[in-house]
Amino acid sequence: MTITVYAPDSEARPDRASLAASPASLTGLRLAVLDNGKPNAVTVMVRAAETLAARTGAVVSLVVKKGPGGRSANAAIPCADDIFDRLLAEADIVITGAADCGSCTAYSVFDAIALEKHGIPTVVVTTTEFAPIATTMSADFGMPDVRTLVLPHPLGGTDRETLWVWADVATFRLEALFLGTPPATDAVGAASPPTDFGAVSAALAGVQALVEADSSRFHLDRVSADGVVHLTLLIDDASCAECVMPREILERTAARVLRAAVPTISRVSIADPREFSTSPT
Amino acid sequence: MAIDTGELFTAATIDIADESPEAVLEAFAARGWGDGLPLVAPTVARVEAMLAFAEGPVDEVLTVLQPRAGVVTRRVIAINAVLAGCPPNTFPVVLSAIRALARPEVNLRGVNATTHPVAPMIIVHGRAVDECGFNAGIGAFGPGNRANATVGRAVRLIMLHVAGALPGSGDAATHGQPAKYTFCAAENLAESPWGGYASAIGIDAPSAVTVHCGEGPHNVHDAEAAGDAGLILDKIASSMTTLGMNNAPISQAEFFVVLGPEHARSIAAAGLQRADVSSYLYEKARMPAALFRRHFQELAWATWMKTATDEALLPMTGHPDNVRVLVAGGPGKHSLVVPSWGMTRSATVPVAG
Repeated sequence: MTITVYAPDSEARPDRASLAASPASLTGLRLAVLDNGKPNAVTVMVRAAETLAARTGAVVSLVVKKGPGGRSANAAIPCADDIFDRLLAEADIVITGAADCGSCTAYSVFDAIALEKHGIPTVVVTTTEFAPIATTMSADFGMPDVRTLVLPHPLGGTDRETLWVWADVATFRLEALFLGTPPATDAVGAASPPTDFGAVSAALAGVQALVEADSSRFHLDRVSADGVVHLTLLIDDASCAECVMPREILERTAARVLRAAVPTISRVSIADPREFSTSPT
Repeated sequence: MAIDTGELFTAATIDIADESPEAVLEAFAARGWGDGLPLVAPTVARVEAMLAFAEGPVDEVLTVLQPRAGVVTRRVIAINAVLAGCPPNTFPVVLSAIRALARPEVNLRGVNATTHPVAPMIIVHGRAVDECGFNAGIGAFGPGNRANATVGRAVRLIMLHVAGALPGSGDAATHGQPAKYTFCAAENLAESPWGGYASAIGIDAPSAVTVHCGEGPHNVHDAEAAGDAGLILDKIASSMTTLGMNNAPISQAEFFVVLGPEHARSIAAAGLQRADVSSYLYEKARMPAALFRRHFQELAWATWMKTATDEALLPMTGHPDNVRVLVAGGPGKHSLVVPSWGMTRSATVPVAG
């Protein structure tokens, strides 16, 4: 006989808020980097900030740790009040992170929402492995469309040159996030069905074979809801850059290889570092 | 965290096939609810029996739990306590543990979201221990006692259902740990040479509950010391001095030291008070500053620690008061060290329904 029982969950009542208004252009805007001290966070974020500034005319105005006085950082608590005030005074837009663990993702998103509420567009730098956590936290904290830049994982333990490539190839996504032009779900890969991602990941070996002989490899960034597989090309030996096939051919070939295993793939999009400057700034 | 008094939330209901364990488990698992173990059906009658021990409006929003900002009412607590199999008279203990976890210094948003395997340890003090039948003696942290097992489980179910600590979304724990199913014991007041823990920290109530968000217990076995307090404490200090625990880089982090009654008696016989134990362990659990610096890019240290030379021996926690001492368990030469997640503080609150 059917019986009635209580549901054990309850309503979520976060303080809901909207993103700050996005700027029409980044030219002349003051860009700050808010560092939570996670290994390599400042390396990849400063590179992303400087590359973005060089391309758009924004100015890197502040690089600071989130602890009191900027002397330290603890990723598992909110940004210190004095640093938050400095950001309000000295920045128009902010990059913060790294959101590449649990509590640091929670508090990177928390800080970003606090800045957005004060009118400062803020991008959280996360990684493929923690993007789902960032998505959950954004919704939990009342701002589901927090601007989130997804980079490969892990940041900690990855060499500086690779981090710079990741930052460089992400520049256009970073700019779009500040300008508010991409759909939020696309930005964080939230629409990616997990099963599809896993299937593509499992089939990736066939694609790696296309570039392995040239000391290069692919990182699987995400799979969009419309079946687009996003890869980042990582060239481990710069002298091999010209040996690797052109991007367009790689995209067509990779799509054919992956479709054999996952027929729902619509196309492959490759972020190719050869199309961006990788010289140190 | 604060919610306006008078705000209400009415729990929803669902219809399930029948009251059999299989039907309840299937219906709840299909909705993403539960901890994977069999559940007691939260019927209206069972929830009302639990709420007979409530001392206020049952649908009043008392607080919210992070990261999800899920609202807490007495009825929501009672529903989850029924699911866990709690005896109705433990309802005030579950509710009080949740009130403690909602306190800002606990930092539940971080505790639930982290990759660390942190779980809230629940310690019950005072009159509620005997009234509800909690186990403070042999195997206090182990299986076999309904109150211990189910109150700890109810807290975890509330983390899952209300706080949103779901593995992979609101809980990023790399491995998790068994204490995330249930982690509750009672203080053994009868065997404590120094009185109760709650009253020692200024909580004047017939019953109280402490929450400490940390690792699972690390055992300290000392059968050799023949009552030598210094040797016992040195061994405990040794267990506290490791680089892999979050206490190492975070000086505000606490240690809970759960002394077995035999160790406690030996230490007290040497004339040491509770605070002396804390001071001793603070002094003994140390490593060279250079070793900390070699292993951590960021050290969340008290300012004075940052001025230390590399050769200086620095403590594993920034203040003796961060070493919290109580007595639990039965006969045997064992004690426990429960390290902290780090950016969290324990909380002790009076038990109230």
